[in-house]
Amino acid sequence: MNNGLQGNKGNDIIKKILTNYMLLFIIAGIFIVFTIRLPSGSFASVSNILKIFQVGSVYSIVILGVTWVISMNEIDTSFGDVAAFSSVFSAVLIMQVGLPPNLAIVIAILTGSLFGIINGILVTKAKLNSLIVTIAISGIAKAIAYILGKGSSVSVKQDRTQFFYQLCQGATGIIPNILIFGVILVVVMILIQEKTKFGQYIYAIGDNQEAANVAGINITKIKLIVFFISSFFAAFGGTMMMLRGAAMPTIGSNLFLESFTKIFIGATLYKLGKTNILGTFVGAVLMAMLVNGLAKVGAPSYMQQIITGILLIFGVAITSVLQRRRQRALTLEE
Amino acid sequence: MSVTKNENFISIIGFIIIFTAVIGFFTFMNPNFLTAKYFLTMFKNVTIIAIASIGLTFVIAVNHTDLSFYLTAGFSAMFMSWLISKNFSVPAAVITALIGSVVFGFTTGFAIGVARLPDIISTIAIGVIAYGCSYLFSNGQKIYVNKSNISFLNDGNILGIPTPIFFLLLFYIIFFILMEKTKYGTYIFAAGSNRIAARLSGINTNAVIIFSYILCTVFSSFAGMISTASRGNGDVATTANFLMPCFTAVFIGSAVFKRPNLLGTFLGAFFVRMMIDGVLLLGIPYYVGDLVTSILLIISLLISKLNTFGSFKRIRLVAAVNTKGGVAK
Repeated sequence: MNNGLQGNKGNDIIKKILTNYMLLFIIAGIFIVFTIRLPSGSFASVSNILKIFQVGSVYSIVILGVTWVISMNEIDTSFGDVAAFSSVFSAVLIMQVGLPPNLAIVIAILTGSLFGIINGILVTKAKLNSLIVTIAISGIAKAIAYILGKGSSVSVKQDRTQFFYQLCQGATGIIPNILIFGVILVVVMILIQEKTKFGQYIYAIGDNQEAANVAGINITKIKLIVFFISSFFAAFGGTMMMLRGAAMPTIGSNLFLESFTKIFIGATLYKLGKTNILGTFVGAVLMAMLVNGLAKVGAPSYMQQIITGILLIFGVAITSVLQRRRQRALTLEE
Repeated sequence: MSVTKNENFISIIGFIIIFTAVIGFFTFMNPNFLTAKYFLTMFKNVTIIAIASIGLTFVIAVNHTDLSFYLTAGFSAMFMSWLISKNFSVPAAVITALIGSVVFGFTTGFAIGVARLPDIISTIAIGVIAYGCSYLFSNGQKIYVNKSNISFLNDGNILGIPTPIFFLLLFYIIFFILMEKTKYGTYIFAAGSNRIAARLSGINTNAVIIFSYILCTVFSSFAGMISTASRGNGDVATTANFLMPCFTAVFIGSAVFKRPNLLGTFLGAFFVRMMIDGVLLLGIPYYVGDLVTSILLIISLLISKLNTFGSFKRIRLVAAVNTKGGVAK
């Protein structure tokens, strides 16, 4: 009897590990498949793995803030076009106004963050649905990006010595600076998410907004801050993309689907169906690995979309079933 | 449950005033705006957005959302173009591609209705898959469609009415009656306002949700096909710009009549397209039209919150309490 119970407990722990860290097993599986398919070492080399992590960290920085918005049970669809806006705006400031690059980038990031504040105000004060509000704001940000760039991309002459260029394009030894920066950022944000009241409030609001309100959490303030953070990171990501050589007003629509896929695939990791910073980072690395590997294998680009779509729907289904089961168990206990 | 209730009259009058003001402004800027010829061209453009928004109105009415319909529409448009390039007859190609879109709609509806998955994530996943699948036919290249075959969809006539407008009227009349005058329409709004209560009162809510999602993909796909017919080639980007105008149309509609409904959606689609075309006619780049549309969307959302002047005061009160006290008691 006792043994049986303990056996069950052991099973539970294994099940918990399998479900919470399923994503890591999938990544390992995909990694092994690509390594076998590409025996020449073009995939599993140090430089290629660093490259995968570099791409992954660039794309995860853009969406770190959106992750929290979704944890709060709201959504922000405007991040892609906010990135496009700040990308084009910083390019225009550098090339046409003639501001020094560092200053231009800071101004562009702050202006881009304004969209987040507008989102936050419309969602919290006017009590509008965040999906529709952010769709509208993304239309505005995109249109302004097009107007600033006069409908096409703006190429930028890079000053390689300046701080932001070194941060985004430079390397320390063989490790790209942006990877180091990305990892530090992810660690700091995980600490905020797990160890501070602010982080707990985000998930409390996401779980049950009314309960959070009754418990005295200032929902308006937290939501405003999180929407601001979301646009701040999006704007920062946009200027990062400008530093590659050109600012394109079209990046928003490219970012849109991919980024949500990364965030929601990441939600299957560790917090059982809730979007979280670590998951977003791992999801971004997974997508970067898929793109990189599929290109090296020579598979057509649409395979990446189909594979991630299927992964995503399975991930959502599994976490959703587990969440429901846990809820049922909790109500039974009570 | 009539659409035109007295309490809506403020927003309806407001809409009419804005509508006339916009027409007046564009006519003042360019007298060609109000000619019959231009009006007919614009009306054809309206049909694409208006038809694509029919299904979305149903999905919003059941209190869900769909971020995949424009991608599924892209898939069906490519599928149809590919079939026509393989010498299928146009009706056969259209019907086969629509059946393809039904599969996507059913899958989405099943995932959200029966499996109770969250709607935003599920539709994004289905959308990503549909987007990938739309590359299957030509690896992203444009598929040339012999215009003489397919022009019927865009330039033909049925009973003397241009084909797109004929379909527009047909679909809107049928589904307006379905939504407003039959018990099935009541089921949709019941499932939208309280799913559990609707199910307990004997409504098959899962069927209602699946039905709405199928309508959403089928109509956006059909709109994608009309758009393909007017361009003469199948392009994966044909429907990429459906998302914003369709949501705007549905939300302007529900802002005017206080709930999602097809009459409102039609007016919204008309309004959105009029803004886009009016801006183009003035020789301003098309993306300025997007800016105006987005601002309109926000304004219409804000208006939809102001039921009457009384509730306007209440909203301001709640906002004031929230800013001062933190907790609204």
